[in-house]
Amino acid sequence: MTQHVIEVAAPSVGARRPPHALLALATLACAVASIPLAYLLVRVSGSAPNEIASILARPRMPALLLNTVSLIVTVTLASFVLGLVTAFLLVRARLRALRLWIVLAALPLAVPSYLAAFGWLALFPGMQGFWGSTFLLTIVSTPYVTLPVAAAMRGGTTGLDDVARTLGHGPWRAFWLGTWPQIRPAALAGSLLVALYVLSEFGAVALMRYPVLTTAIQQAYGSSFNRNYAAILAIILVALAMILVFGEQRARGRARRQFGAVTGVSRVRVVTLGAARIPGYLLLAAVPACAVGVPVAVLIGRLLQAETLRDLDIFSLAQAIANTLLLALGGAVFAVLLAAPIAALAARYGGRVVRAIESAGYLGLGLPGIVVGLSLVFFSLAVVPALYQTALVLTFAYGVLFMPKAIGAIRSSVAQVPESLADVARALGYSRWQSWWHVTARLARPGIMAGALLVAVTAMKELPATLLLRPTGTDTLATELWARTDVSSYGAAAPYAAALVLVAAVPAFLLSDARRGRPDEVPS
Amino acid sequence: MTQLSLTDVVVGFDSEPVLRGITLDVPSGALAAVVGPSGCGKTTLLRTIAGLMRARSGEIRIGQRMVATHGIHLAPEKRRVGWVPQDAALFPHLTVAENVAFGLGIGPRAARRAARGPEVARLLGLVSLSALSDRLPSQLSGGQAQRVALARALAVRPEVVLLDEPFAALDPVLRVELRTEVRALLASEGVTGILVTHDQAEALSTADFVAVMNAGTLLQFGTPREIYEWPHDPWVAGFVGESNLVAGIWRDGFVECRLGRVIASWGSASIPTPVEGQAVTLLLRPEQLTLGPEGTQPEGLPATVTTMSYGGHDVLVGLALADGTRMTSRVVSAGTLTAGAQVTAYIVGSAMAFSPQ
Amino acid sequence: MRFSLAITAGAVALALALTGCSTSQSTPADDAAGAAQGDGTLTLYVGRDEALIAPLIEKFTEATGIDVTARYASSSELNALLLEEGDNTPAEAFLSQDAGALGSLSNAGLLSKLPADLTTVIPAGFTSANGMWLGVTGRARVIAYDSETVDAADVPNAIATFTDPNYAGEVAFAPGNASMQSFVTAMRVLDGEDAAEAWVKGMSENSPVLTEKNGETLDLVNSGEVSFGLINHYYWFEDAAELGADAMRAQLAFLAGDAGGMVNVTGAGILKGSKGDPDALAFLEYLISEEGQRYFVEQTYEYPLLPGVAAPDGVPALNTLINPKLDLSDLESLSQTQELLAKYGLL
Repeated sequence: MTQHVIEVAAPSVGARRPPHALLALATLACAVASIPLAYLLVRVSGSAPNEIASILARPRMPALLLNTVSLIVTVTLASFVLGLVTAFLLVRARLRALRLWIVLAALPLAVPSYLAAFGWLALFPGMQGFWGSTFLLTIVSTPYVTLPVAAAMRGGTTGLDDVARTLGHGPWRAFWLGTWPQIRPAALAGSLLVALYVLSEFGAVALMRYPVLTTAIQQAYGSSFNRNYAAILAIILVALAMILVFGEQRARGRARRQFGAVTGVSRVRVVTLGAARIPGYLLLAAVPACAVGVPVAVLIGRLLQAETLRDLDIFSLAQAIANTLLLALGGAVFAVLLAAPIAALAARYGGRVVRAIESAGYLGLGLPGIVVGLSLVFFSLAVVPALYQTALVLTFAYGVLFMPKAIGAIRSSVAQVPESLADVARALGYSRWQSWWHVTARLARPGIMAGALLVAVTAMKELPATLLLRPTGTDTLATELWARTDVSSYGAAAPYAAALVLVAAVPAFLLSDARRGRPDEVPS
Repeated sequence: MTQLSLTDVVVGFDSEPVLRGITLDVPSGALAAVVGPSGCGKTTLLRTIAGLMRARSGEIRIGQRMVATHGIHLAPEKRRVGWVPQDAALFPHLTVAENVAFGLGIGPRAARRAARGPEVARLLGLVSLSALSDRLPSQLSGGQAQRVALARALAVRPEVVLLDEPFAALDPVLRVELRTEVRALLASEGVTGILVTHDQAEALSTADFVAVMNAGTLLQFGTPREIYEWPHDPWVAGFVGESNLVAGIWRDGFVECRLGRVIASWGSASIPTPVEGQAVTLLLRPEQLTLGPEGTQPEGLPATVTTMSYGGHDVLVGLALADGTRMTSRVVSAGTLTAGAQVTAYIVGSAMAFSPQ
Repeated sequence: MRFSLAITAGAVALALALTGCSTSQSTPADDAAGAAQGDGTLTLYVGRDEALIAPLIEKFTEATGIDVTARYASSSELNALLLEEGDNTPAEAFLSQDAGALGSLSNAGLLSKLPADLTTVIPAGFTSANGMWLGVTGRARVIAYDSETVDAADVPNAIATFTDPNYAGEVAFAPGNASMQSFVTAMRVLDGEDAAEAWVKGMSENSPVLTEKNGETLDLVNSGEVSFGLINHYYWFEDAAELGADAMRAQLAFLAGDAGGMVNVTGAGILKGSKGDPDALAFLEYLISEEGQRYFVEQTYEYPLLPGVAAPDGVPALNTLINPKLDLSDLESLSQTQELLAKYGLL
């Protein structure tokens, strides 16, 4: 269909009030996302003010905070740069075996950080502390930047770069002037996911012996049995998460205005790498090799040990795979249900209320799983005790934890569906919901699916909340893996780790969108 | 019979009203064009009639039905209005026929079923697209897409069709062709149409009635001729066509100004005829200023040609009078005129006088 | 932004409303009503490895016919879970990795007092001082040393020696680990507060290598990255069982008569709502039966606490190690220890 690029006196985002029903649904989703925060406030209110003050004044606190913040900064920056370069190579460079590289770029998503850390430590026991943690978290989280940026580049145009070149700018400057404004929202959203992930990450940093707030929280539960101390630390995490979310919103707000004029035209010019070919391929290979290759190689080494295979209980492995898939699927459904109203609101409307609702939706991602898990123990026992320790509550917890991963994907795909389509449907006799379902959601389907897949792949790897909330006796690949790495018999864990990587590789593969080559494409 | 009636419709908030009390009656079967500069509220007016926006106060009737009045807001899907947006907004995942059928049931399955029915075939025939019924919107040209959008809007047998700048993106020839076609189609189907456009020539040539809006206010509603020849104020006059404005003094049916003593009729409808000696603004259309060779008539105004804007069927000639006043004249043929030529300008017919802004 | 915060606060308030704001006050259950009848089933929370406990549970079911539903997670997570569940817990008994978690539950009034005929079987100092939980196995604190760089004769025989600048950067330990903290508590009780503080201060200034877990500490010694690690004895035996004792670069030194060689215990308790439940009692009895104790000795090289059951080969007898007259689940003392560690930046 022809794109008409004309100046229209269309009402800008924020000029209109969102419908009450949507606002109500989004507020409800936002309240659900706030359950962990509410829980933390209940816990903290159990501490005397001077107790809180003395905890905050602990000598170790500045160090923990500094460690956490510096890890966030370095990992986010490193993933940002790596992701940007990778996306550029995947979209703008002439590559052999392009589809292979596209899939490989997404594959690190399938590897739990603790598994990557284990693999690297098995080879290089000395690789610990800050730089070890930075390295590991960077390689496993780079796809969070690569995927959305590559999608934005594919949907964008190099025409603006060309214009910049004709205006006398060099290629770098032209990229900055032409392409960067187009990919900026995607790059920011991806970087936010990375930053929040680093904030809440526990497994890898613990293995890397790098003390941050999450490891201190774990200690508070593990040796002090002090829930209130853990809650105070977690509140600090929430505060950091809010700073990150607000920062991203501010940056994106400016980005949106910058980018507003460039829609519709989609034309991508592919460059030949020339002398940069070898480093280009090396870079494309390096991230997946480090994030997937090394841990998988270590796993295969363990798998091949005869003892491991002899001890393997195929039935329990199959059971764990089935449980993992079903629970992750349920989590994805909950996450999408919770994220959809928030994303739809944020895509179509502006204003402080909308921004506040959207940022509250991101709460879960900044908190370690154990905190969110406990908050849902608290919540489900208070509200639906009959469902406690059922798969329903566990999948609901996945939804609360991971809905932010779906918000971004759904928001951008809904924003790409022209509002006039929904208007037409209304005039043709469709109610608001029918119009949303048959038109907007239908056309935003790629983004909704991407959001669901991202949640599913993350939920498969989730451990702490799973341990707390799973139905008694139900094992997932992650819990089986946990049960076997806790004793020092790593060999027995290998089949489960391998199965987890394989199962999680499926959504990662689908997310890479190698099949269509044009992710997030909204036909228009 | 009035088909669409708006009474004192207000949209927006006190701090930033978008529509400031619009009252409008469109007769049944007529095509009314709404014109105005960008941001004047014409699209908002259309969206409010469709029910896509909520009026804060005022009443809207479609046929015999009150669709919006104090505290009542009929949902758009219950208003039976056809909506043809500027970008055609065809559903990209549906074929042409399915697009047309989209309103004949709820959901893509119903659309697919209805797409094979006789009504869709009839509508596609009406817009001459029968051969393209299985194409996807991405395979259509801009004009074809707009025809599909119109057929889709007509499928639900609306009482009013709302067209939001549907021709804006088309090339000029296609534009003329399509608007003629749309007009004929609406007339043959007996549907009342509201056409929002920023092209005043399109409005004047296509519509039965023209509504001129500015800053959320309806300045004038009337036939194209009324709007062009008897505008209610100089702004409307200037918006719907070229105009020369000159300050002067009212003298009993004449205006004394630097052009001399010019016969004028009183234009400001809302203000009584002025008293002798009152300051007024004189309006002359360019075609009321004809040109002759230098010094041919004593009552003519000596002028120098400054610019020539060749429009094919006519020519707009920029003039500088002896005192430096700039005027524009429209002549059917440029003849031997060139920039710098000395000419005499004559006023033809009666000018209009307005109270000064 | 301030407005946004207000909105966020509103959402939190709504979330609070959703949870019913129920910080459910636990009402002390009537003791008499708590005497449950055995129903032949037992819901158990297990804070130890599934690979270790699952076979033991099978043996127990074989022996008694009682069906056990077990929920595995780490002791700390289960402790947090049980605290959160309060009276609504489905668990009847809790098998914990360490005494602190049991003490925490006991303090929260979530455990039931055990019958004296059960608690008196285990020697004092290795079980609950007030009969709220039962010691099951013992774990000695030891020094793991790198046998390639350190001679066995040169290993300090008192933990206090490690504050010497000679050991700067050479000692690894997990300050957040419960058994490590128990040891510091023991030091405070046995050697006095001043000595303990001097030790913690000295260690913190001696470039310690801090880890999250004992297992990591042992790995560091085994790979030669540090010369010494403060761990629990059975970690070494587990690794030795997998890799072969000869392949172990790290070797152990037991600290007879020193606070650094104190013994921590694992234990079990019965939740308040299941007070007197015959199935839960049967399980606890089984844990400290000869059969149960021997299972732990064979599988984990932990110390049996039942007098008369032989300790694993290669470890000194339990009574040669210091048996601090400690309440291992004394959390008040634990929190003082944590404050001490925190004061010197170790927590």
